[in-house]
Amino acid sequence: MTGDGGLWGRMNIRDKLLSFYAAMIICIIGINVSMSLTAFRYIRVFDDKLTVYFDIQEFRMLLDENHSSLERFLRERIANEEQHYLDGVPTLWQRYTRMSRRAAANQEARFQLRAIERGLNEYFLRAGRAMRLRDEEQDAYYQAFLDTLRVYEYVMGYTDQLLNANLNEGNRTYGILAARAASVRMISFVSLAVVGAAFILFGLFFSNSVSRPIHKLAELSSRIAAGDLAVGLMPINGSDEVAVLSRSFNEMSRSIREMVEDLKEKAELERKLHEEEIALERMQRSLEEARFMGLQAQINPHFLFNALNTISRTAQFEHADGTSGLIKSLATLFRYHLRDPRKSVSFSEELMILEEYLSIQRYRYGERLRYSVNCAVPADELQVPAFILQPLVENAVKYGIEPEEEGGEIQVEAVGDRERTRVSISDTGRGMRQHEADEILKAAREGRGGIGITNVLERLNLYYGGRERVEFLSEPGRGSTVILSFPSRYSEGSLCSPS
Amino acid sequence: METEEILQDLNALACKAALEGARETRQLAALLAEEYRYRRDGAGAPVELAREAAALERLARLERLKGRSSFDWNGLEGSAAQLVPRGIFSRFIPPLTDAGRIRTVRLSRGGASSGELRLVVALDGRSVSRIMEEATTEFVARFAPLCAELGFALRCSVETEELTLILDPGEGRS
Repeated sequence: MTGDGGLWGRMNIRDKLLSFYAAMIICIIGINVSMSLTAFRYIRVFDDKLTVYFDIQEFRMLLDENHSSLERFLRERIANEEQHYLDGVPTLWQRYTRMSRRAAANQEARFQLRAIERGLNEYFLRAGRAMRLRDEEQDAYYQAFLDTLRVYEYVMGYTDQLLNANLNEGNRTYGILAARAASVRMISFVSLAVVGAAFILFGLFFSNSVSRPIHKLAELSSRIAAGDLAVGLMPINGSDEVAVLSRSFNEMSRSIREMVEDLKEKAELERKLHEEEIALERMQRSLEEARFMGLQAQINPHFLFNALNTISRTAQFEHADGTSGLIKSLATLFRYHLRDPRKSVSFSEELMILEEYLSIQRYRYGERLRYSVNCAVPADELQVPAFILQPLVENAVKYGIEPEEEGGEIQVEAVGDRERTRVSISDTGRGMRQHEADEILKAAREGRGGIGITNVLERLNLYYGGRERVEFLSEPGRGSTVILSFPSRYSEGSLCSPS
Repeated sequence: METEEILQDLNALACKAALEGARETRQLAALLAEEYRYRRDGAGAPVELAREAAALERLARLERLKGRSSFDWNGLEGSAAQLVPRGIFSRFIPPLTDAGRIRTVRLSRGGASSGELRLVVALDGRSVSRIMEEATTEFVARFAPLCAELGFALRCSVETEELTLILDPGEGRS
């Protein structure tokens, strides 16, 4: 009944209900029709019996009436009575014929009927003789009448016996029918009980077959809603709406599970990527630190500054003031360069180092190198990444001023407000075509340019997160200008207002 | 900042000293530049003992003006071509000078195998400090693998006022 392949399994809920109700109604109608037919049959049997009784009684009454007419005619010679008697004779035979057809219930009844028939014939013979004798006014008519009366009484006696025989037979039939009626009543009660039980059982089965999967469905849905995705599959029986619902639920839970698995995989992948990025970043930081430490070990700053100190004292001893000043500038520059490049510095420190660098270059280039530094921002509070100016000025010296026989001038200007700071490094050197300058800047941005400018762009980008702007303007014979523009970041507690 | 930049600046410094007639200053700047030129090639690679000894002498000269330290490597002229790890002696000295004053530095042969090289650093009237011991231990740990590649065993001994760095070819080869 619940198999997938059965007719019941393929039916939907509406068809199942309709089929069941139809079956129940057919059963009830069948039982009722059967009982009605049985009752009708029993009524017909009783009706037949009553008809027999009625026919016998009617025959008896008609015979009695006919005999009374005969008797009155014979006594009083009333013509109507004679006619009435004569008219009653065929009627009496008709009644007998009808009665004999219905009342032959058993052997005894058939015997009585034959006796009645013979008696009736005899009666009419003797009555006819009596009437003839009466018409002839012979006194013998009376004896003939008495003979007729005796036959009449015989016939009446046989008729009574026939009635009794039929009553007995009817009584026996009634007993049989009563027993059958009791059986039918019992059968009808049992049938109704069976139908009722079937109805109840089907109701239980059907409500279970519908409500149990729905209950299970609700339970699994609640578990999924609570985040438990490891729910089992809904069992699928048949192809009704509950089965469709269960199948859809299984598909849905599978989809959700796959989706969540996908999300977990993605999250795991992202976590691994993130960890790898962190590890890579840590490794890069370690490499930077190792490189920095390696450089420190190679240069050995302590030794370098000790030696410079020794040389400086020697220069002072030899009254070489210029050399002494140069050593001081070199020491300052070295010290600045040997600091951790990942830390930010104040803009004033950056400018101070720039001036030290330019003063050293002045020892090399003399009057060929002229420079000016103008700062219109609060340099002590403004924080910038270290080493963003000196590499650019170094490029200006190396590629702008040095090739020119008469040298040139370098101008460094810083302006800005609390939002942004703009620093320009200009030289009046050789310069280049703008497309060449653009190419240099592009190469630096892509990490394939000169070490100095590429490094400056990388550190600006790391520090300002892409909010910095770098321009490189140049014209052959008129020099070049590099413009840095970046968000103003002031140290805590500063006024953040440009001077 | 690269060693090359330091070299350029030291050369500029030597030129400036020469222009001002400061001979001693120029020599010291040149010595320092020479030292960084020697350092530029990194530590551990094989180098002739003579070059390593010259670096040691440069350091002694640079240090000499700070006090009364002196350098001596007499008796090793015949071993000038022997290969030793670059920096094995010259990089041993600066950490010690950071921690205290050195009186003499002597490079010699010694030990039972007579192939052993010894660098004896005598301090200026003071016992070896904990910092010096740590610096020596760290140095030995760092250079021992480099020495092993050249077949030397590196060890050190600490006396009251003396630190001795021992480069033993016999142990390393075994």
